[in-house]
Parts: sequence; structure tokens; C-alpha cells
Amino acid sequence: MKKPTETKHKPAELLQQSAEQLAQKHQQRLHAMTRAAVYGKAASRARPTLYPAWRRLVAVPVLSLLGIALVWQLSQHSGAPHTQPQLALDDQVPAWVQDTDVPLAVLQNYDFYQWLEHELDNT
Amino acid sequence: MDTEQQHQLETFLQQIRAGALKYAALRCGSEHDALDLLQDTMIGFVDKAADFPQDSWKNLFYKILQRRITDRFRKQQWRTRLAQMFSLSASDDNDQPVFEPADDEHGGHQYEAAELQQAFEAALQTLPDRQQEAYLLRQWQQLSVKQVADIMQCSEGSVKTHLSRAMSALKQALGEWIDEETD
Repeated sequence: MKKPTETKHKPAELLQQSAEQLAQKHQQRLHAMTRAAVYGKAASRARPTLYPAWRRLVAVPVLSLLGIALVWQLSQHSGAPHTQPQLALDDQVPAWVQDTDVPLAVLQNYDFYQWLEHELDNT
Repeated sequence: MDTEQQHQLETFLQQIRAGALKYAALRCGSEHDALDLLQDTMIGFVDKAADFPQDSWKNLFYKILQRRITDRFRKQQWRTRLAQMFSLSASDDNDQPVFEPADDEHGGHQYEAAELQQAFEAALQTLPDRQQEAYLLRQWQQLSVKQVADIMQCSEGSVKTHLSRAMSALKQALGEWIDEETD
């Protein structure tokens, strides 16, 4: 590389001078963006490691409770018509009937057969 | 990221930001856009820097900045095409400045420092994009030909060709005051 003379200038020096002038003009913003990039990024990086753990601790019991409440609600509304008559029937069926091979249809019409037996006894 | 690494990153960004801002401003022709590009670049750089050795940070930083600038150009081209499709007149703001050197009585070009700076930047603006990139990264930022090739995503031979053409064009435009040679 040649040495500069009085009339010659190094373009790199001119560019550097111009760059420093421009940086001086926007000094505050450059400082702010540097801080934001380094420390702001560090803060945002911390979130994925800390917040999910914190969220998990809260989310697991909350979601479990919601799930239990939902299942309970469904069982109260949609399950009731099917289970209640069955329970009522089971209550009316004597213990000895449960050990027999009596068909389910007979058990479900237990009142009819009880009445029929009563009528037959009377006749 | 520990405190020591944060300090290293901050120091590095403080050292590089003036040159990077000027580079972006020269490449995209707008200080405002250059600041936005630089901000995006800093964030992208900090995100990746931990995975790279410190002596390659400058290369990494300019690589990210170059990608941001390229993305911006692509968006601009897309907008221009859309404008042309809808027969809208394209803006004349992107016209390259024309440098007309004044000859002195000895036939050479005599400039004051501020005029030289202005003239030089105007001449740079007239260069094709790839020549500008090669010139600024190699001759100003002092990156190696290999690093410049990596940033520009081309071969080292292409970098040398772009650089040689840029130097010739600048010498032709500005005279003999350019005091450097390509390697």
C-alpha cells in the first residue's frame, strides 16, 4: 500500500471519519439499541426458562380441577337418566335374585312379575 | 448468558456500531432505515454470538447485517414490481447521485476533506451493489477476502473481481487521490 501524500487521502479514513460523525449524530439511539440488544435479549431469554416452570406449577392443578369439574358436570347431566333407574331397580331387586341367571328383561320388569305372582296366588 | 459475556458483547457492539451504521446507510441510502437494520442486526447477532468464537464476531455481525440489507432490497423490488403492475409511477428518490469532479488548473482533482468525503461517497453510490459490498467490507472494514466471500455468499475469485472493478471505477471517477491498492 502506498503512503498517503498531502494531496491524497485514504478512502478508509474518510469513511471512518464519516462513520464517526454519523454515530455521533445518533449516539443516543445507538447506545439504547446496544443496551436493548444485549440486556433486553438476556431478559427475554430468561423468560422461557423461568416462566414455563412457574406456569406449569399453576397450570397443572388448575387444568386438573377444570377437567374434574367438566367430567362431574357431564355426569350430572348426560349420565343421570341412564344410571338412576338402574340404581332404583337394583335397590328393588332382592339379594337372592342377583345370584340367579334371571334375564335382564325380567329384572327390569320386576314390578310386573311381582304383581303377576300376587294375582296368581290370589286366584 | 453470564455477565462477563454480556460485557464482551456490549463492548464489541460499541466498537462496531459506527462503522456498521455507515455501511448500512451507504448500502440502503437512508439513515433511518440504516438504524432500523442495525437494531435488527444487533438483536440477531446477540442471539447467535454465544455459539461463535469472539474472533469471528465481526464476520458474523456483517453477515447478519448483509442479509438484512438484502431482504430489504428484495422487499423494495417487490413493491416496485407491484407499483409497475398497477401502473403507478415509481419514485425518483432512488436515483443514484451523480458525481462531477471539478478539474483544477493542473488537470488533477483538488478537494477539501469534506468535499472529498462527499465526493467519495457519491462515487461509491454509483457502483453496482456487489462492488460496493466488496469494496466496503474488504477495503474499509479490513475483512479478509475469505470472510467477504462468506458474507457475500460467493467465491473468493468473485470478491476479487468485484473489488478490482470497484477500485477501477473509483479511480476513474475520483482521480489519483485514492491511495490504496487491492491485494
